[in-house]
Amino acid sequence: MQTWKKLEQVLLLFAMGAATLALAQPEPPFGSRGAGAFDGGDPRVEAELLVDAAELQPGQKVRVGVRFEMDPNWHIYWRNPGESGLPTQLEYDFQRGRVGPIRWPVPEVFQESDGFLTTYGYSGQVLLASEAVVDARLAGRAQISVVADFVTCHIGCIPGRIELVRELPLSASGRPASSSTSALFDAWAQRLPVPAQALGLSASVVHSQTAIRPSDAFHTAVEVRCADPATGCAGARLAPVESFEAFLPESLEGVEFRVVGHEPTLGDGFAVVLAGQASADAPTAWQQRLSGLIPVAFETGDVRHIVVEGSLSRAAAEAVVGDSESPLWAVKGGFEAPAARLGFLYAFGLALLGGLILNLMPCVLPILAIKVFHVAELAHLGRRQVLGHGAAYTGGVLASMGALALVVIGLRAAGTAVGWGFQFQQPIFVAALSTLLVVFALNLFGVFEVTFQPTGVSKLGAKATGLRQSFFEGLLAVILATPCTAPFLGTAVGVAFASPAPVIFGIFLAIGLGLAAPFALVTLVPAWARIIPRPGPWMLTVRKALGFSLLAWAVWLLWLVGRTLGADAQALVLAFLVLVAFGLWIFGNVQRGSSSQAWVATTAVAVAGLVVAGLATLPLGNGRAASGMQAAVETELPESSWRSYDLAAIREELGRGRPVFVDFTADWCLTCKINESVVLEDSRVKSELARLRIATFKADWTLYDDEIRQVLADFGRAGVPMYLVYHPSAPGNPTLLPELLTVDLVIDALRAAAGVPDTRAGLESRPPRQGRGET
Amino acid sequence: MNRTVALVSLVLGVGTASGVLAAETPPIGVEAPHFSLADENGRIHSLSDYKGKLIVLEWTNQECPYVQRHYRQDTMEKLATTFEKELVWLAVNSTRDNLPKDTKAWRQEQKFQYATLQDPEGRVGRLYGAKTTPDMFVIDSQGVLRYAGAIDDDPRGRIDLPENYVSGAIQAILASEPPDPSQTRPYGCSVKYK
Repeated sequence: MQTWKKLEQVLLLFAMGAATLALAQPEPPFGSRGAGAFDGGDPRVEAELLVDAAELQPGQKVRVGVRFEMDPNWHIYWRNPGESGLPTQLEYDFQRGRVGPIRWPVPEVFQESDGFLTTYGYSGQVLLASEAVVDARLAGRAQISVVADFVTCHIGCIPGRIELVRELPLSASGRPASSSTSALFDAWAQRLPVPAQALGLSASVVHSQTAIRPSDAFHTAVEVRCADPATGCAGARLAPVESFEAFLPESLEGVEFRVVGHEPTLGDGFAVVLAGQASADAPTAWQQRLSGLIPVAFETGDVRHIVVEGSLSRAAAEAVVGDSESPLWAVKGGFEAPAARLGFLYAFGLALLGGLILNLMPCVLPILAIKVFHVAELAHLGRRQVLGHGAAYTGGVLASMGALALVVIGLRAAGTAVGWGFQFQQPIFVAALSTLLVVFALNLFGVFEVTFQPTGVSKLGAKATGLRQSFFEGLLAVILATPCTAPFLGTAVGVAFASPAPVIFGIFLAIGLGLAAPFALVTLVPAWARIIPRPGPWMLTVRKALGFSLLAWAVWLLWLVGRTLGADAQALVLAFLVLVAFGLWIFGNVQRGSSSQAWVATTAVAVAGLVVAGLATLPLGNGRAASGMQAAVETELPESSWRSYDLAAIREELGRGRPVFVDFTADWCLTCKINESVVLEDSRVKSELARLRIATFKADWTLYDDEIRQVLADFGRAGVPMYLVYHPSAPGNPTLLPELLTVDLVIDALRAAAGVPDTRAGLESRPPRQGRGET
Repeated sequence: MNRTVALVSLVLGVGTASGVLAAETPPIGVEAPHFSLADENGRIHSLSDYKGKLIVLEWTNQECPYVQRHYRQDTMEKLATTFEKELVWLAVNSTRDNLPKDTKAWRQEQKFQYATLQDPEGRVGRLYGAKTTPDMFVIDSQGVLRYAGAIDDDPRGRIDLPENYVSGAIQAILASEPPDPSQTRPYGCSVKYK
């Protein structure tokens, strides 16, 4: 897309260059060219008054304009200059007619000081054209003059004022200008924004309040829909731009708008969501409208800026205003994550690699061990059967990754944005998973066998059952893998969560493939399978040991339940697990045929009843979860210097000159816990944090929090862990640390943020922002 | 091994956020953000030092033609001396490459009375969301921010008798009235933050 945009710019510039060259031959009359904004005698801006006619015809409509040419890196400003600069002004004097308002081409967006200031304007060259009407009275010659008043900025700013004048003969039939002049007017006309209707679109503006009072903070959504599919507007969507390019306000007076979100699917269109902040003063009459430009991409690949206008009902401070509800007010982000620009193939590669490395993470390692163990157990089976197990495991992994992707896509369609590992934010899921682990452990202990026939089958390795178990293990591997993240995975998942549904699906499957690869390869390559020891009595021991590792996992999950819901809920879940274990023990006895049918039947009914009762009483509602969590956070605060995430507090610390370290974490995130205990709690890191007076914040994502999800998305991530180090001198540009921390790496980053010399150069280098000069 | 993995992912994973912290003016009618800064002579000024007096903060950069025009016209100096008894005038220079000696030379040349706080790291500038030079903030004797924005209504320097918003705000506060306007759009060169 970027390339396409570049190409378009190059072509346009080329066309304009050609037009300018051709224009240079017939020397225009004296005074139609000038220069201004002198920088030590050197003009930074040159200007020329152009008229799209060689002779004027009375009563004729004719295009007039000023073509500005700026020195490289210098620019002049749009009608709304943004947060600094001044609008370029043209004051015409045309005795033989009148000149209409400037038709402003779509401006460029300039970002300054790492995005702290945004301005709108033109670099290179621009033609600011207007339509003039020539008087009907016919006589002699006509003189058009214009005063261009502007400021041009690069690093410094220079105000400029250029006076231009041009005389043209009047004739009854008129005479067109040279084709190159007309071509120049035509080329710049192509860059004007167009009314939405002209492209078959309709644009409407809705506000979160019936009226806006002074100092009000509110939301505004611009909804763009395809009103007339016959024009080819079906499939029109927001052009792939960064948030600050998604809405260019035509004025910043009275109310400032900032793009906060993009909803890509709104029936037959999309929405751009703005946060508005009204100034403290009573509004003037002309602040009652909202108007701006939005870039729309069509399926043909065309990108056009449409003009969006809506009313902005302003009210006095004491006015009573109503709120209007809309799911759009919750929409945040949705812009291409920075990584998405790397390309999806790259993201797929990262996903594959991340999935592969995930096998080495503590989350998946036990499952992988069990899996390898099963291969050994099944070594007596034929090669085809071993292959079958490989395929079943891979199938299980892919099926659950696919299912996970579908859940993510479904939730997103329903308006809920989630992240990696989101299922651990639901206590009911955590309880269910701990049950699953206990069941699995009991199976490894030999309490019962996995079979779906009610009685009699006790022989392990019956073919169908074994395959089913491999598939099931694949499922479990995925479920257990999500609280871990691996290098590369954060980026890949970040891209996935910011992408359309097919890409989410593809990236999740790629992670699954990577995850399943080691075991699949062992089954595929007979030579590799040989590294597994021959079956023997050792297997019984290992089998039981692995069972204990699963129980250890269950302990961790139960700790989560305890933290989020409290000791009572934890005890209930534990009681429930005892019942389940009891039930499975009886089930196992039946399998081995060691219990009488009648005894079994009565016990089974009793256990089933207890299980149902237990399920019904489990206090796993989300509301209680949230309050439980709150209590947990509060009690933890006094003993550590880590404060809960608060953007205002972070700004304040930065304002005081303190660097800030933010740990985005969750109780269920094992990678986070490992980083915290091994690195962040390391005495060297702790003393460095204290020595450099670094403010530390924890963003806890154990339970769903949309604000934190949004910050993660801003950095191209869909899950925790994430570590940010803010430098007080560049608060808009924090350093993002990798998912796996080391003590040295953290200390280096902290020193860099605190401005301690030597190590600084390495970490401070930032990728240059492409195509955006400093203003 | 761990370190290699971490370094590789650092290379691949390092990203920068855009517009995460965009310029935002602190709310009018609320306590102005606190800070302490040294002036060109190394003297530390804290907002709390001046409680009980009005404070005017003027973002400045002697390289900027808009600032130069107002200094030629003595816009700032006139206001600062007119309300000498009631207020403390503090210029703030958040230009990344400004040195105290540059400020001293400028003060010598222009002969103004007030100190210029040195903020080359841009901390206080960002705290106040200062966008341009000049960008003005008026804080009342209780430490509440009462006006933010342009010095006057004449960005292009073409009006004979421009309306000076800062003067209006000071007089309103002294008369116990709310300044009107209390917020305008500042004009001038962008602040050249580090």
